[in-house]
This record gives sequence, structure tokens and C-alpha cells, in this order.
Amino acid sequence: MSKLTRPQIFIIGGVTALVFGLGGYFGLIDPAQKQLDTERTRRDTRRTKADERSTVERKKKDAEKQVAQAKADWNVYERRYMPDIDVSNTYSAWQDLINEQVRVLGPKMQKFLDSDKSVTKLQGSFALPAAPSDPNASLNELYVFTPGGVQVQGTFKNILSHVERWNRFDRLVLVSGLTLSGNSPNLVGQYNLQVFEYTHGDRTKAVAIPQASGGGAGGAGGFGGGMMGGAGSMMGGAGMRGGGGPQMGGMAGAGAPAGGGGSTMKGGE
Amino acid sequence: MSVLRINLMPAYIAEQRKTKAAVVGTVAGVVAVIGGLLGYQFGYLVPSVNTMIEEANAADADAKAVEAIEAETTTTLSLIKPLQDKVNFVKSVQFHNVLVPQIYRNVAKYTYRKVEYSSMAVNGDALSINAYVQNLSDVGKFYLTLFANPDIKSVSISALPGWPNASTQTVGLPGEAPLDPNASGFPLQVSANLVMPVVAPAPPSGGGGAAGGAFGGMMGGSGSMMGGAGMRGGGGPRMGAPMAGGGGGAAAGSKGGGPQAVD
Repeated sequence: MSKLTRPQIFIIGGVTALVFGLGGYFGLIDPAQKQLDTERTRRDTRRTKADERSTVERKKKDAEKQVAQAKADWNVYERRYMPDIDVSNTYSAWQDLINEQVRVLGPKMQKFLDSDKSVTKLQGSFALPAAPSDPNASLNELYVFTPGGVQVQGTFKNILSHVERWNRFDRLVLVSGLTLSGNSPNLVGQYNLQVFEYTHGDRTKAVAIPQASGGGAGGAGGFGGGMMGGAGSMMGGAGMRGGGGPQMGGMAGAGAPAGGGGSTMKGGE
Repeated sequence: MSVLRINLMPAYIAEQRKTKAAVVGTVAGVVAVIGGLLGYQFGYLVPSVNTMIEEANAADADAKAVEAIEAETTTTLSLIKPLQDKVNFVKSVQFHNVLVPQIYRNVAKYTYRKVEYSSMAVNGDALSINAYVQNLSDVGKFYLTLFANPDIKSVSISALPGWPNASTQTVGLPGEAPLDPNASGFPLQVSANLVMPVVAPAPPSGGGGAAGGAFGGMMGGSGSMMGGAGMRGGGGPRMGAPMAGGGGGAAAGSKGGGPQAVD
């Protein structure tokens, strides 16, 4: 120490101070400053977003009003045209669909068609398919039925009014392919009908009704529903064989292809 | 009285004292620099950063609440389209059910009164008519009158007779003899393009389920359509007659006194 001159001490001190100063700046202050800037930017950005709250809340209220309006609009048509099939309940939806297809829609259409005395019905027998046998298949949002065509005879004016009258039917009916032929007052009008039925309710809430698997269907193989039952019946073969009761093959005989499954099982005995 | 102080100590002793003072001063300077840095760092920067983080987190929470409301709004708005689609579909069906009758009414309205129709059909934008006219001069009047129909953008007529006896030719509708042997005239096939095509509306996508049904029978009726000759020959009220009652006036009014439907 005693050999160092004062200039040397000042230089060493200055250099040391510079090293610590630079090290402190780049090691501590600069990162902290950058973090401060980053956080300030984040705060400002998010605050800008947060300041939109009143606007966003107003938009939400507007959206709710629009939805309410849309629902109200649809409810008018739903009450007027759509059957009450609630698909949030699998079983009741299935029952309602069966009821609609078997008991309501067909007779209702027939009655509506027959009630128009301004024209003579030449052809207009409607037919609707059976409802799905699987309740789980009755949860569609929309059902489209094509019950058949209609042929009526009358005056030009009456036939056109007759066609337009379908807008007053209490199901949504599309009249298509209207053609006119002949001469008034014996003009013949013919057209096809399509019926659209929207269900309601949230089908995601519907609980699936379990269906019989292949093994179970084997037991019912006698119904020949049974195409699948063929495989299942093989599994059930042991029990049947032991019981010595009616043979699967015999039961399934009426069911055609399922009979094959039955006899295969029998052959395995 | 002034005192004269004389330092008789050797010079190196004073030099050592100065060197020590320089060391102390330098060390103090370095410590001051370091202390200043640390003081700025921990006395100002770190608290500022912490405060800023808290403010940013608070703003972030508020912003997330706003974003949650936006997401709810989007979800809510997404409920509108399916409902509107269904409403629009119902309206389209209702409109379609009256569109074709309205087209037929307008065709009747813009039909020259001496022309008989035996069939009329619309398919897309094509309107096809089987007609019967008494003579060639009626064809022109019929054509001009029909062209005045605002639903129609183009008209073409086919099956005009050739020589001889074009004006008094006695024929039935295509493939058929007229029922009334005294009837004179000839059939026409008229094709027109509609301004607005007739397209059956389809339910909005996303709908499911379908069920078939009974078709058939309808198309079988086409044979009877062509049987119009018999009806025509009977001389009964013409299809065109009740509708074409005011045809002339309507045609004139529609296109500014264009084609005249009267003789």
C-alpha cells in the first residue's frame, strides 16, 4: 500500500467505481427498469381493456335483447306450427314422436285436406313412416316427412286458394311442384307436400336409453330382428343347448338370415 | 503574537498521511457509487416494479372480467342465428307456398283472352305452358301480352304450324286429336323464364332426422294433364277465360301502354 502513489490509488478507485457502477447498472438497474416498462405496458393494455366494461356490458344486454327477440319470433312459429316434442327427455320425446307420427299428423292432414270443399279431391291419401324403434333415435332437432302428393280438381281460383290454404295448417307444410292441367272449372292441380317439424329442448340433457347388445339380442333371435342376433345367439348357445328347449335355429327360421346364425350355433353343439 | 510552526518531521511521514487519506477517499467514493446504485435499485426501482405488477395484475383481473363478459356475449349471440335461420325458413316456406300460385295468377292475368291453356308448370325459373290458339294473329297478341308479365323475363313459343292451312289448321294437343271436330286452331308450347326462380327452401343446416313417406301417384297424373284436349274440345269455360278477364288492361298498365290484349 505504501508503495502506491496517490495517482495510482485514484486510478484504481476510479476503475473500481466504474466496474461496480456498470455492473450494478447492467446487472440490477437495467433489468428492473425493463421489467418496470413491461409491467407498465401490460397494465396500460389491460386497463384499456378493462375500461371497455361499460361498452361490453351494454353489448351483452343488447345481445340478450336480440336473443329474447329471436326467441319470441321463433316461439310464435313454434306454437303455431310445431308439435310439442321435448328432446331433453329421451323417453317422452320418443312417445311424443310416435304419437305425432301415428296419431296426430296423418289424420290432421287428411282432415285439413278433406275440409276444403271448394275443390274435389282426386288423390290425397297420406302415409307416414313408423317412428324409430330406438328411443335414442328420436332426439333430432328436425323431422321432415313426405306424406305424399295431392291431386285436386276445381276452378283456377279455388285450386290456387286451396294450395295457399296450407299456410294455415297447424304444421309447417311445404307445397312443391304445383302443376295445373285441364280446363276450368275442371282444372286439375297436383302438388307434393313436405312437413317440417322442429322439436324443442336441449338434447344434450337427454339420457340415452341403453339398447340390447348383441348377446341380449341373441335371446330375442326368434324375432329375427335378429340379424345381429345371429352372432349373439352363438354366445347364448350354451344355455339353450342345455335347456333342450326350442332351438334357436327353429325360432329364427322365420327371421330368415338370422336363421343361419341359429343353425350355426346348433352345429356347434 | 504570531507563532511560527516548523515541521521538522521527515517528509515521508507527511506523504504516508496523504496516501492514507487518498485511499480512504477513494474507498469512500467506491462505496458511495455502490451504495447509490443499491439505493436506487432497492429504494425506488424494486418498489416501483412491485407496485406496477400489482396494478397490472389488478388491471388484468378487470380485463379478464370484461373478456368473460365478451365471451358470454358471443355465446349469447350464437344463439340468435339458429333461431333466425328457423324463422327465416318458416317464412320462406310460407312465401314459397304462395309464390307459385301468384305466378300462375299473373300468367292468367297476362294471357290474351282468346287463348286457352291446357297445362301450366313451373320448374326452377322455367315456366312451361301448353296453350291453344284459334289463329295466328292471336299468337302475336298472346305473345306480346304474356311478355308484359312482370314475372317473366323471356318467352319462347314453339310448335307453330307451317303451310298449308296455317290459319285454319285443325289439330289437337301434341299426340291427341281435338274432342270437338269443329274446333279450329292449333296448340302452342310456351316456355318462359321467370325473373325469380322458384326454389323450394331447404331447412337450415344442422337439422337432422328425416322420415320418408309416400310418394308416387302424382307423376302418374301427367297423362291426365295432356288429356286437356278433351276438355278443350268440350267448349266449356276455358282456363284462361276467368283469369284473363282483365288481362288487356293489366298488360297495358304494366308496361306503359305496351301490348294490347284486346282485338
